[in-house]
Amino acid sequence: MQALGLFAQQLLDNLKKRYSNDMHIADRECYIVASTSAAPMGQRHAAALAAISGQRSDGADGTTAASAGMVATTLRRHGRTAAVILVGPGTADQVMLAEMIRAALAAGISYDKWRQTSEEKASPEEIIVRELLSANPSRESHEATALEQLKRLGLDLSLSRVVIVVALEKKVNRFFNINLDLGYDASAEQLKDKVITTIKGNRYLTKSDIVAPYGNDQIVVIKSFPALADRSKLYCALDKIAAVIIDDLNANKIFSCHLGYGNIYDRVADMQRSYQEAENAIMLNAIFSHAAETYKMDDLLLEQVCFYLPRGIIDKCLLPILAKLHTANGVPDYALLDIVQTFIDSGLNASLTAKVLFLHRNTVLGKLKKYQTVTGLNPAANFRDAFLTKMAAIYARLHQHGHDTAPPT
Amino acid sequence: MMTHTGMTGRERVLAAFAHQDCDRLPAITPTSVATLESMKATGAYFPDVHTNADKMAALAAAGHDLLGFDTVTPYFSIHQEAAALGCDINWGKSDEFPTILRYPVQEPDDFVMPRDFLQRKPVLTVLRAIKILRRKYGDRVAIIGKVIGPWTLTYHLHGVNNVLLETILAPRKVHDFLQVLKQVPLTFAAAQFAAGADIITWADHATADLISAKGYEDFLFPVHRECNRLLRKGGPVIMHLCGEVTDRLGLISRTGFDAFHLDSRNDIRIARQLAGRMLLVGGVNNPVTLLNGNPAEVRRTTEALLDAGLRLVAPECAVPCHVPNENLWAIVETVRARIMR
Repeated sequence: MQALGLFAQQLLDNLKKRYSNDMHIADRECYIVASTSAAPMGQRHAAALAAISGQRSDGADGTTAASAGMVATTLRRHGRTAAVILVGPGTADQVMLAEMIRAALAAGISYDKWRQTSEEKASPEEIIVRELLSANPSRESHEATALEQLKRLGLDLSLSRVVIVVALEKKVNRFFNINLDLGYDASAEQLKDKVITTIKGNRYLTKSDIVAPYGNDQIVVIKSFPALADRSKLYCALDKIAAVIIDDLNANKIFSCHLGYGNIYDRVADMQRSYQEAENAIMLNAIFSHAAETYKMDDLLLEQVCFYLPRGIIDKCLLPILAKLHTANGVPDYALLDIVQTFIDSGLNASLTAKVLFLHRNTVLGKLKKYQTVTGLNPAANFRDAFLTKMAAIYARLHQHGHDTAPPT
Repeated sequence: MMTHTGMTGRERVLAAFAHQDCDRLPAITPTSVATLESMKATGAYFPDVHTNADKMAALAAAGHDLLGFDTVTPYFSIHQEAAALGCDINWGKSDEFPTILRYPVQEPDDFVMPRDFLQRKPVLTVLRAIKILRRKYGDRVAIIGKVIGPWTLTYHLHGVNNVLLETILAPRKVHDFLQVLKQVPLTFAAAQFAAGADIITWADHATADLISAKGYEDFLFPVHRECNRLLRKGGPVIMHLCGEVTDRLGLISRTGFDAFHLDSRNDIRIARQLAGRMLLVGGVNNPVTLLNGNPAEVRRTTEALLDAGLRLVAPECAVPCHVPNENLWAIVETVRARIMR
C-alpha cells in the first residue's frame, strides 16, 4: 500500500476534478493514506474501521453503507484487507464512485506487482533501456532508476551517447493461405537472443555500451562515445558501426533487420529523444530509401529537414502548394509533382529528367510549364522555389504513407 | 610435495613464476603500493619520486621494509615513457598520480624513437632506482619493473579519444601506431632487466569499456604475442589490464605472458579456467576493500581469494595513496600464514 500511496493520491486528485464528493483511501490499519481533503491524512478513520468490522464473511470485496454519510468499500488481496475506500456525498453516486476507485486501485496494485516481477526477471541493461526510453509522464522517476542502474554497472555518465534501434521484422513464409503453426514463432523468440548476442559481439561495441531488447520487435543499442570537439567524426563512426551491425545480422534467416539512429547527446536524460529520432529514421528510410536496411543520416538529408520542419512553415508554405496541385477528385497531382522533383534531383536538366522517367523531353518541359502556371513556382529560376517544391514533394510522400512531420519536442 | 625452507623473497617469487615449489606463497606487488604513510616514513614523496632515483628507490623499498612484500616496485605511475617522449606532464601532488596535459604525436610517421631514450631523465630515473634497489637487497627481494605497452602509449602520445575513434574510422593508423611504439617498451624492458629487475609488468590498458574483445584480437593480440617472444629472454612478464577481462583473457593467455594482473571485478574461478597455465596475480579490490575497508575485511578477502585458487594475491592495481598501510600488511600477513597445499 505504501508503494501505491502516490498512485492512490494521483487517482483521487484526478477524480476530484470531476466529482465534488469527499474521497479517502485508508490502509489495512484504517489510516488514511490518500485523500481529497488534507485534514484526515495519517489519521484513523471511523468509517473505515466500521467497514472492516462489518465486511463480508466470504472474504470478497463488498460495498457497505457506513457512518457519517460515507460509503465505504474494502479492497481485499489474497484474503486480507489491502485498502478501504471511503466516498462522501456529492455530484457522483457514492457507491458507483467507490466501486470505480476500488477497481482502479486493484488494477494499480496488479500493475505494480507485474512491474516488480518483470523487473526481477529483467537484466540491468533491460531495465536501463526500459526506464530511459519510457515516454511515461513520470519520466523523472524512470530516469532516476536508470541512472542508478548505470552507476551500478560502473558506466561513465559523462560520456556522450546515442540510441541505435534495430527493428526486427519476421521473414514470413506463407506456404498456404491459412495460418499454420510451423514453429517459426518459437524459433523467432529463440533467435532474438542470438541477435542480441551477435550485436553484443560487434567489434566496435564495448562494456560501456548497452544492448537490450525493447518491446517485442526491437533491439536497442545505447552507444557511448568519448567527448570530442569534432562531432562529425562521431557520426562517421556511427555510420560504420551501424553498417557492421547490419552486416553481422544479415546472415539471420528469420528476421529482416532495419536500423536507425538518433542524434548524439551529452545527457543520459536525452536518450528518449534519441530513441524517437532513431525510430523516425527507420520510418524515413523505409519510405525514401531504396537500400532500406541501413540508415545514413546524410543520405536522407532533405527528408530529415522536411520531417523536422516547424509546423508553421508547413502550413504557410507547403500546404498551399499542394492545394494548388489538387485535381478534380480532390487529391494533389502527385505525378506532376514527381516529374518536377525528378527535374530538381537531376540538377535542373530536362534531358536527364526525361531519361530517368522514360518520357519525351518535350513532355517534361510541358509539365514544368504547367507546374509553374498552377503553383507560380519556377524551380529552374531560383533556389527558393526549387527548395519549396522539393519540401512539398517530400511532405506529400510522407502524407501518402500516413505520416506527418515530427511533433514539436 | 617437497618443502623448501628459508627461501628468500626473491627465490620464492621466481620459483612461483617458474611454477616450482616454494616454502610459502609469495606476496607480490605488480604495481605501485606507494602510500602517504610510506612517503612519511621514508621522506620520499610524490611527485619528487617520479624524477629522483634515490627517492624512487627509497619509497619502493617501503614495499618490503614496511609492508613485508617479497617484491619492490619502483615505477609508481604510468607516465615515465610519455614524459621522456615529449608529453607535457602534470606530475601532481603528494597524493596524486601524474596526468598528461598535451598529446604531441598526430601521425605514426611523426614518431621517431629517440636515440637517447634510455638516457632521458624520466626513464633513467627508473633504471637508476632499480640498480639502487638491486644493490640494497642483493638476492633477498625480487624487483618488479614496469613498462607501458604500445596501446597505452598511443593513448598518451596521441590522445585516448582520438585513438578510440580511429579504431573505427582509421584502423590502419592505429595498427601503425602500435608497430612504431612497440619498440619503446621492448627497449625499456630490456634495460630494466639489465639494471636488475627480475620481473616486468607490461601495462597496456585495452580495457573492456574502451575496446571490444574483437578489437583486442585485431589490434593488440599479434603485437603482444610478438613482444612476448622477445621479452621472455629477459625474465617473466606480468600483463596488467584493468577491469573485467573474461571476454579476452583466453586470448591474453595465448600471447605467452607469464602472469596476468587481475582486477577484482573478475570471477576468479572463471578467470582461472580461461588463464590456463598463465599465473593470475591481484584480486584485492582497491576502492572498497583497501581504501575504505579495515584489516579484518582485507584478511577475509585475501582468504577468499586464496580459497578460490589464486596463489598470488595482491592489490588489483596501483593503490590509491590514502590506503592505510595496515590494510596492505593484512594481505602479506594472510598470505604468509597460508599453509602451502
